[in-house]
Amino acid sequence: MIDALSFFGVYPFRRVWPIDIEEVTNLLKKHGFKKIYIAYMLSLFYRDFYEANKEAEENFNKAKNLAINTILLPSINPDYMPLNKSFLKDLLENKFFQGYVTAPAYQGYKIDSLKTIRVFERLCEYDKRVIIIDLLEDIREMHRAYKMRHVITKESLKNFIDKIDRICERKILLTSFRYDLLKEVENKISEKEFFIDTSSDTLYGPQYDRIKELTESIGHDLIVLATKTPLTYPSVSIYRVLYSDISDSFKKDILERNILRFYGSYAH
Amino acid sequence: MSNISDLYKIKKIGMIDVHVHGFLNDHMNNMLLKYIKIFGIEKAFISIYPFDLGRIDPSHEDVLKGNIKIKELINREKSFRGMVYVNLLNSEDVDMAERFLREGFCGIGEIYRSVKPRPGLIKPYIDLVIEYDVPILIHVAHRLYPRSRPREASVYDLCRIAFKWPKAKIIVSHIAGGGDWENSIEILKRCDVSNIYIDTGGSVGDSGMIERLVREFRRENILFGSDNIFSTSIARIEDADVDEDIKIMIYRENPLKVFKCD
Repeated sequence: MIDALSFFGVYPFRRVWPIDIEEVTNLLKKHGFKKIYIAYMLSLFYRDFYEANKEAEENFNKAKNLAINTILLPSINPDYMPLNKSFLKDLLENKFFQGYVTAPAYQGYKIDSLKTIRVFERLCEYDKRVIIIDLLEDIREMHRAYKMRHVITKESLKNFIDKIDRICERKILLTSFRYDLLKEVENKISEKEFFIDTSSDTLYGPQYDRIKELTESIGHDLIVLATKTPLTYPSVSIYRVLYSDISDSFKKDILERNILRFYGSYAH
Repeated sequence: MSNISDLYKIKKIGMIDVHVHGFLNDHMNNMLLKYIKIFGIEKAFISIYPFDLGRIDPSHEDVLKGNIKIKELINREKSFRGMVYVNLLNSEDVDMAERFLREGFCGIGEIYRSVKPRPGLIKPYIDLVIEYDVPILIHVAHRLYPRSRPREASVYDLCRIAFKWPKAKIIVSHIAGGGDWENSIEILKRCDVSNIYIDTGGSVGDSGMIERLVREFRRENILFGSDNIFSTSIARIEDADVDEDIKIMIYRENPLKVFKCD
């Protein structure tokens, strides 16, 4: 199996375990993962994501002998793009980074603003992947703690999908998105070929088999496994897929093949 | 990738699920049965799915129809045990509840959100559960922020009931049902009464939840429940960093102590 998104480092809102990257990789190895994509948790909550990613890289590079193949995903907050053009170029042309995880929208950007869309399109032009987080701990309603901040709504998500250029087809992953939002825009998601993941608490799992419903509406080839470890118990996402009433071939696609398809041609 | 079948690891230890819903729709009931068998659930305490009754404050006739359907299901399937659904606002539901308890139902619940379970409203049912020595399962929202559901019970409400009637076994529903479970555990800890129980059901997969419950709440009062979200509810316990003995307590031993009916 491959994990499309996991985390390491401290989570600012509650104690989670493990936080150490070696321990996260050991834990996921025990669950049968051979490769994971990982983001530094704190980097999602920085205003200056240049600083955040520097810290992420330092911590990532300190780790020795990781148990499984581990790929670092830096963060990006489209509302705080740097004015320094050389930095921006460096960010886009950095071969090391194959995808960028956005700060949760409640951290302060509008998904359908022109600025956000331009930033994401630039990343896509450079063949980067964009992993857009809706609500990290969705049902805990963290966004309610940020009264004046943005939340991704049905309308804003529709606008975003309509406006974004086709260059981003198959390069965007909507992660931890609420099921009701996904259902509202399912046609648009499959038309623009965005990927979605299994990590939202609102995807339930059998007996309410929402993975099966999404394979029927959005398509099994656009769904990927993401565990959100250590925020979430890894087996929660795995069991949602394993015990879903879909074929073994679809399960294999979701647990592994689609993640390779999403992250594309990068060899690691 | 290895064979998919190698990934299935759930041990069949005869789980007792204290929070399950049956449906008016038999297709859903067949799905329920299928998953009960897949996950090796030995006994499931079922009440009617509240949304099947059309409204959150259903009439006595609708409530009765729901309970009759549950009776039909428990007669059909040996792993099912009945829980009587009631609407606290229907005065006729008290006699109906007693009739179903006499006929072998094993508890009252899930009392849903037709109204907050204020002592005056819930007293007749508390008298019944004490008399029949059965538990009462009450829907609780573990909300920290205000929502548009003023009729929903909070953990505070249930603490008050448990404190007032120490002989009644009160089950707080689905700690993982959404909201701020850390806040609920804090309240339960302060509540400090031995007759309040909690079921582990719900869709939220936040890590550390079971460990914190075991560490800070009475471990013998933690009961396995799923609220029909079987895969997630089992995954939470399977992944929790607690001893296997404690997992067996939660899955099986604790529910058997609370539910005396066979």
